[in-house]
Amino acid sequence: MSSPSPSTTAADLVRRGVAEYESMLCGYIYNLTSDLEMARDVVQETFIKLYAQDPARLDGPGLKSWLFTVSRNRALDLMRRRRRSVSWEDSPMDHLVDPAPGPDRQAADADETALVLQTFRRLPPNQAEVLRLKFQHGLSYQEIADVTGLTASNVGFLIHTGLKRLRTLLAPEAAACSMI
Amino acid sequence: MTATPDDSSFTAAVLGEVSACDGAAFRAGLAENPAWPQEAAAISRTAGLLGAALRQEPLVCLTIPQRQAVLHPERRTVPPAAGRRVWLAPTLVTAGIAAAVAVGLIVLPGGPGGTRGGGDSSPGLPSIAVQPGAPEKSGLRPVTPLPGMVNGLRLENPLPQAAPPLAPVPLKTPESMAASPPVVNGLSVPAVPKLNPAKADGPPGKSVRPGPGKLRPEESLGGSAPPK
Repeated sequence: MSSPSPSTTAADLVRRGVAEYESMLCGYIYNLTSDLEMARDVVQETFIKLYAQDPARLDGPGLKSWLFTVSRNRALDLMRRRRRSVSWEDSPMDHLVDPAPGPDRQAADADETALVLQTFRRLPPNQAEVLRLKFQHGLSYQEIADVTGLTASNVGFLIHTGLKRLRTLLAPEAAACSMI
Repeated sequence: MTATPDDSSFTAAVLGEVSACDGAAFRAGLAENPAWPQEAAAISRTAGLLGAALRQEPLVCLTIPQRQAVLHPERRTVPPAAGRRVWLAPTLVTAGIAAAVAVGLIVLPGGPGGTRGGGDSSPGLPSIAVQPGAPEKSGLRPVTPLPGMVNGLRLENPLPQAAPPLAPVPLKTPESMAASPPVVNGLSVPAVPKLNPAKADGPPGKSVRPGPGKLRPEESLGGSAPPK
C-alpha cells in the first residue's frame, strides 16, 4: 500500500487503483452480480468516477474502501433495475476457465479447495459476502463495514458465525473424504 | 478479555481485528485457558482454507479497451456497455412502437379513428386529408404541389409582377368639363346641353287646351296675373 503524497493527482490515484484493485474489484462484483460484462462495466465506471474525487481525501487506505463501496453500490443498483437475483448455489466462477489450471497441482489440494468452495457456496449471501471481503480481498472489519453499510460488530458477528458454520459443514465432508 | 470461543470477539481476536489492549488480554487468556488455543487454531485453519480456496478462483479483469479508457479518459472510445444496455432497449422499443404507429396512421387504409379526412376523428389523433381522386387501394397518393413550390423548393417570388399603377384620374367638375368638353366622334359635345328655346313652350301640336274653368296657357305660363 502506497503512502499518501501531497502531490498525488486524480490520475495517479486511478493508476494506483487499477494496479492494485482492478482484479479484486472485478472478481468481487462478478461474484455479486453473476454477470461478467456488468462487473467489468461497473468497475470501469468506478475508476472513471475516481477522477472526480479529491485525491487528498482518498490517497491512502481509504481508496480501497471507496472503490469497493462505489462499485458495490453501482452493482446493486443495476441488479435492482434488472430485477436479477443472484444465484449463490451456482457460483459465477464456475463458468470461468481458470487461467492457470495447474496440471501439476496436487490432487489433494484440488479436492480440498473444491470442497471448501462447494461448502462456502452453501452459506447465506450476507455471510458469504463478508467472508469473501475479509479472506479473499483482505478488507478489515471496519472497511467491510464501510463497504456494506453494516456496523463493525455486525461484520464481526457475520464472520464469526460464517466460519463456525463452515467448520460444521466441512467436518463431515472432510471425514468422508478421509475415509475414502 | 472475558470473551469465550463462542463470542464473535474471540474470532475477531484470532483474526487480529481487536485493539492492542484486547489483543494483549486475548494472549493472556490463551495461556490461562487450555481450550482456547485449540479453538483459536481451528478458526485460523478454517480461515486459511477459505482464503486459499477463494484466492484460487479465476482472476477477472477489465478488457484492454476498458483499461485504456480508464487510464486515458481523454481518448476514451469504449463507453460503459452496462449503462448503454440499460437505456438502449427501452429506447429502441419505444422508437419501434412510435414508428409502427406512425406508419399505420399514414399508410394503412382505415387506420385508427375509422375516418380519413373527416372531421369526426378521435381527439388527439391527427387527421389526414385525402387528395381527391387518389387511388384508394394503393399506398401511394398523388401529391399536389403547393403554390409557389417547385420540386419541393419555395420560389422567391411565385406570383407574376403586377401591372404598374395607373396615373390618378382627375375629378371632372362642371367648370373643367365646360372648359374642355369631351369629344365624341370628332365633335365636341357640350358638357351642359343648352335649352332649346323653341321647345321651351312645349312640343308642337301638344298645346294644352284649357277646359272650362281652367286657366289658359298664356295665363298659366304668361306673366299676366290671373283675374281677380
